[in-house]
Amino acid sequence: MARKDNVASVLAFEKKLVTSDGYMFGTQWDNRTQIVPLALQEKSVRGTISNRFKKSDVQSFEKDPTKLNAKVESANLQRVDSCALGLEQDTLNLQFSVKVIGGITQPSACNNALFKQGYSAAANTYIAEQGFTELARRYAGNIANARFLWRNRVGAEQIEVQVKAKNNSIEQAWTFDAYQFSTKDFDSNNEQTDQLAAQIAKVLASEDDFLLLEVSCFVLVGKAQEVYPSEELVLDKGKGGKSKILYDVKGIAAMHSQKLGNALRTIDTWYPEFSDPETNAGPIAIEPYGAVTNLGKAYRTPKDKQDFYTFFDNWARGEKLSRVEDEHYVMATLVRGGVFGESDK
Amino acid sequence: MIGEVKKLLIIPHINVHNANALSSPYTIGFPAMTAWLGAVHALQRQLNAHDIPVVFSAAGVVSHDMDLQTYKGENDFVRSIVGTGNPLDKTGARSAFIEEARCHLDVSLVIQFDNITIDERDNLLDAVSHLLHAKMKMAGGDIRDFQPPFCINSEEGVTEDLIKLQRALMPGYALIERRDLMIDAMENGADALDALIDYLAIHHQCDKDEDGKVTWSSSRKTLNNKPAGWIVPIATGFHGISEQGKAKNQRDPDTPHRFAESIVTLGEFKMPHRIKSIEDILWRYHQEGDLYLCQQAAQVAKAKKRDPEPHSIESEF
Repeated sequence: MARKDNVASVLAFEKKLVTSDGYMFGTQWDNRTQIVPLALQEKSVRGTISNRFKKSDVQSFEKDPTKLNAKVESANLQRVDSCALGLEQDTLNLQFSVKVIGGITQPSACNNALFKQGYSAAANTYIAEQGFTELARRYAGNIANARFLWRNRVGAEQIEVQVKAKNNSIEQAWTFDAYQFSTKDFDSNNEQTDQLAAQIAKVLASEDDFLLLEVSCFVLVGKAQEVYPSEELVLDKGKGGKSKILYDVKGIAAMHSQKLGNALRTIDTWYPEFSDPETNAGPIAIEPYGAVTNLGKAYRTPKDKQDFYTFFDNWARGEKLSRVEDEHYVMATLVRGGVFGESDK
Repeated sequence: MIGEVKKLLIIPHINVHNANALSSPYTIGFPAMTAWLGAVHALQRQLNAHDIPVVFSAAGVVSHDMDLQTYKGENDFVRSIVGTGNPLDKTGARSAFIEEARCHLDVSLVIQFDNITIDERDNLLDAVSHLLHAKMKMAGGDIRDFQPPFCINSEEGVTEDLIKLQRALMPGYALIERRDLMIDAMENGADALDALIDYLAIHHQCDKDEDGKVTWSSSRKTLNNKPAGWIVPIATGFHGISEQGKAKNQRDPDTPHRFAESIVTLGEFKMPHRIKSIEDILWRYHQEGDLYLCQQAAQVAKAKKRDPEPHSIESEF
């Protein structure tokens, strides 16, 4: 078949793991009857100058050392948002919901019937062979290991993740001790995560089913410790002068849904550099180019033919990929969703 | 109209997350009316595909809460959009920021339906709940939660029926079409954009009394010496600007494509307890020549009274 006949210039998939914002509450580890919403606080701090100086500055300092003193002594005033537990609270409670939806065999927009047929066939084959069990196991692992806490996970003494299925038909609940699950790999076997994974896999493989999960996570971080909601991306802040703006919803400190979603899909251990102990970045988030924002690096470049598009273009047209891991990666990218249309020029 | 029994499907308190907040090509705020009627129509098509032959003929939208993702610092003059960071590109460099206004919404939908018997209603409600959870998006946002939908019969002119509906929708604000304001202003010689801005602009002025004390006051345009209401600009449809045909890379290759521009007019947010009849909050599709409109019956009646000529594009620029 000529490649030109089945190019989908409009092609989009909607996300199949839909996270809500994560709301932050403070409570006590031993007594969780009182759960209080955390509010943002504004702080004005008198910081110090600690950045590197420009070359030209350094030269002028050599000529006139008092200039250096003047510069370093001038205060670095900042106004920032912050968020911390209350004086009696030693535990952060993060609550959010995850909706898993099915129907991955149909793109949400596709303008080429031929391509759509080919893709659907490939997706159905994947579901028949793999049934999403591997992906679901990893998603469940990321719920159990509380990776979605991001920086709040660091230095916590104990972490307990409670998950409830809220469908009318399924009434199940699980409790995980997050420190029993590694964030470096997905090798652990656990009956509870297997149960959760089975539910997720069933829905992902379904035609139009859904699963509602409510996650409530308790993190013992210590009394009055600082916690970390998401930072807002405001490009032109104006003259207000606040240098860090945190996210809250109706006065409750919150984490962005996108950030929670990114943590849940941090399951990619199939990129080439994973096996190299020098450059290994641990599991990375599923992205078409394997991009990791905080490292400023893309782990799956088209140059190495390891990116999503290289795999997807052939796979959706009926070719088999050489490794089953690559198929996992392609399907996980589709679960993530996005606009994948190809220019027909 | 009086005596007509309407079958209504109410979906209360739909929580929509990260919806598209472009209410018209020029303004951000509550999502455009085309988004809501489109969502209702999409729901109908999904239901039809599940062998439920329902017809959704009209829809109203009531906003209970809206959280526009903008930021304004203490001394800032303007609000700025709170953006989202995009993943890095293939070289690992940061990709461009695309400024898109988003909002979180809590809305109720009132949908007039037909072609369903009383016995089939439970089936319809189950299917609607399922689809809202599993398939639907609204104004581009994710549906996070909603209260159980229900059906009521409502007879026009019967006060109890109206009160029952109002109670279900309060507290909230229904979106009402106010193209009459535009027509009025334009008949008095204003150009469309001026007419639109006239009702939205806030005028600040200062007075100096004898002691030299300066007092500032702000005001918006009034209507008959009363505040005109909570007036907002909204997009209510499209005006075709090319012939139907095929365009390159069109979304659906089997349906003829046509280029169009948005039609922007004024709308008003009004508490449902102030409406006189259910028809007042319902919007319907209307197609006529180059115009593809979402419109309200009351507005059509008003326009007809004023202007025998049915072709009057009130605000297209």
